[in-house]
Amino acid sequence: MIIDLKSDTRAFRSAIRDWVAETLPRDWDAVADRGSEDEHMAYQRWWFGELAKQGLSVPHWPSAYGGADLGITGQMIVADEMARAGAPYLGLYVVTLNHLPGTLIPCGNEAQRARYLPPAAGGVVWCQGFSEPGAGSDLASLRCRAVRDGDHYVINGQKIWSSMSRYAQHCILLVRTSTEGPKQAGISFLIMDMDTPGLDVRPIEQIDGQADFSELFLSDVRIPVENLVGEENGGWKVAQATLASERGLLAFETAERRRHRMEAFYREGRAANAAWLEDDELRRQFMTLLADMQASRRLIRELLHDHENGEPHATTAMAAARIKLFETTLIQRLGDLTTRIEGLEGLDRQPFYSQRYLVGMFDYLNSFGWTISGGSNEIMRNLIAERGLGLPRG
Amino acid sequence: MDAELAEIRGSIATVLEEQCSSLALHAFIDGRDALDERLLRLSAELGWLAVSLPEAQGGFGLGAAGMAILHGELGRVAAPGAFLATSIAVETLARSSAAEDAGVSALIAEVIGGGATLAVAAKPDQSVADGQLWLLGAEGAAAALVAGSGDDLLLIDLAGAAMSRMQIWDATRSMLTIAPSGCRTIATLAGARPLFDALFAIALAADSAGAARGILDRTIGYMKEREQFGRPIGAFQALKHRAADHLVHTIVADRMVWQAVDHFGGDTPAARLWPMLAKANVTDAAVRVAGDCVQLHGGVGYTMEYDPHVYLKRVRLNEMMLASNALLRDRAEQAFGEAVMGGDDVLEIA
Repeated sequence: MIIDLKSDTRAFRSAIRDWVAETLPRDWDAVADRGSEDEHMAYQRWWFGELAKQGLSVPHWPSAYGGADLGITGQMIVADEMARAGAPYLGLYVVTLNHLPGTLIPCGNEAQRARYLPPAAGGVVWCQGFSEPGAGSDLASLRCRAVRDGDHYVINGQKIWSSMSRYAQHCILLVRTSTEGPKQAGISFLIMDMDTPGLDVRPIEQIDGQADFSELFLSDVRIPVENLVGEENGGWKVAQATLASERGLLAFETAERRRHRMEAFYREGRAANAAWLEDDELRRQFMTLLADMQASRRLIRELLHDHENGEPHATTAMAAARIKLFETTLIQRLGDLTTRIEGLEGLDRQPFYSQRYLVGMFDYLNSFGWTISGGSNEIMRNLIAERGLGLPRG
Repeated sequence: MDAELAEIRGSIATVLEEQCSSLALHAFIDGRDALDERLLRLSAELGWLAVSLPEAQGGFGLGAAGMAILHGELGRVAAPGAFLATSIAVETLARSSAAEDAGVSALIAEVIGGGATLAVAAKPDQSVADGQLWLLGAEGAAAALVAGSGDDLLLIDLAGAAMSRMQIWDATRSMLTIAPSGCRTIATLAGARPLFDALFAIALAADSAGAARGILDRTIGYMKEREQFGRPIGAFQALKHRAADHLVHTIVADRMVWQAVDHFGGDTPAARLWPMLAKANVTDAAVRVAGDCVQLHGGVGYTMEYDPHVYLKRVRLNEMMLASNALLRDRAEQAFGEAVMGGDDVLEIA
């Protein structure tokens, strides 16, 4: 397995590069472009399986649960090579790969880790049920109610923006178990099987035509008490671990992918003598964004190195908030630019997904998913201003 | 940044914080204190201009990284004086073929020792209108670097030159007009123009990134103290969100400076690309930040008494020098195109 080479970074990198070149069909994203969303997911499942054969699906996990204890430098090599090759982006597995281990390893019990982590390493998809229609940026005000009934919790309520939940087998769920005291003190963290009776998953159609996320309706859903992670009413602390579990590798990989796409977009434009290269405003804006992209990539690398060097959470959390704000805004500005470059001709509905090129309106519309989710950029500004700059709370 | 650079930055910052406070700066602007001359003397004593200079010329050899640190800190406090022009000129001279010349070599030593300052053409491609050329530099500057033919630069003697000091908005630097035709050429720096442009771009970007951060820090301090409607104005989301954006943009600006530093030197597409883009993006960002710092101060931001205008005027001058940001982006695009079509990876980060 390639993962066995991890201690020799040069050999590790070149083995990944060679293996991807042999394994990934050259025209894979052209095929995927023509496919439906479900076919795209099928492609991701296939690729995850191929990675697993080389020990590269969950290399960053502890070896006790199927991983290889791969450090951040090694993870960067894997992500960089995936981006370079334009390999399928594993959006389906974001919660599985990051939030699940990030929660269960520090906050779960051994039975939960043994039961859930090895299957997840094999490709079982997880989703997250945190936000609610009435609890978005103000997550702690969530109201989805869990009432104890013998050895079960009975859940009633609603969850929203649950990415990939249509494809998931399990869900990490935040529920209200108490209405006493501060709102954070009445929240519990549960694991829910997605085939439990009383759970209804309804896809939400997004402005870009995709339906990545769904709304979850829970009516008398029964979850065994053994699925409680941490203590009853102690779920807020667990959720903080969940939210802190992604340490910047995702931003790194997507930024590296974008770098290659920008280069390819420019190369194609040059080769085709594209009109936008003769347009002073568009050409100069491209160069402005190229410099912004480069600065952003430097910031992401710094964050990862800070994690590797064990910098305190207060430092890395602020850096992460600044990166989230800048990088997602950059994605939007890039989408805006390519939309203007494509002009009227770009306003026909684009293929659903392209990993090889920048795609005007699709990328532009999709970018709002980045600026709004993951802590909206307004929440990031509050964090930066209040915790970073010490400005008083409003 | 490595430990050595961080230490040098810290020592420069400490001296400048002591010497170039807001009070001292306003005393200088009001003509009550020769802060520029005092800083120049201090810099000679402390060897600031030697930080970047090649070791062969008696410097510490930190190159563009040293420039980034020095000008970043000078910009942060909006330090008055002829540092920018002197530093760009002396670094160019030291790296050019003219450095072999005994007269030039003596001039470099004199400049590093604080005995002379230098000037540079503020916009090297400026066509000479009415026989007048605009120089960035102090009135007593010994010599100036101006464009020659092609990529050559000329070092011209300013002794006895007909020059006049311009009235410019930026109170922290000075600009001169001269008639270059009447000046003696001390040396021709063959093919030195790309080097000069890169040094100029990095110095302008560093100064602007530092200035943006400097005025933002002061503005945030003001937002914590100034109260309206019974609370500090910094508590209002409409204002604090702008401060957060500005912070991010100043940090991004700083990283662009380092991107340029990493690719300084040599005749490669990356060396032509990143310094030009850094100057363009960083000065644009600094103007936006400093301009909004005037606005965030409210009424006092509109007065000469407060700091924001000093910085805004400084970064607007930075923005206009070397070449327009539009033109620099075009030059950068040429370099990028050359790299991409030639299979040269200019986006790799070590």
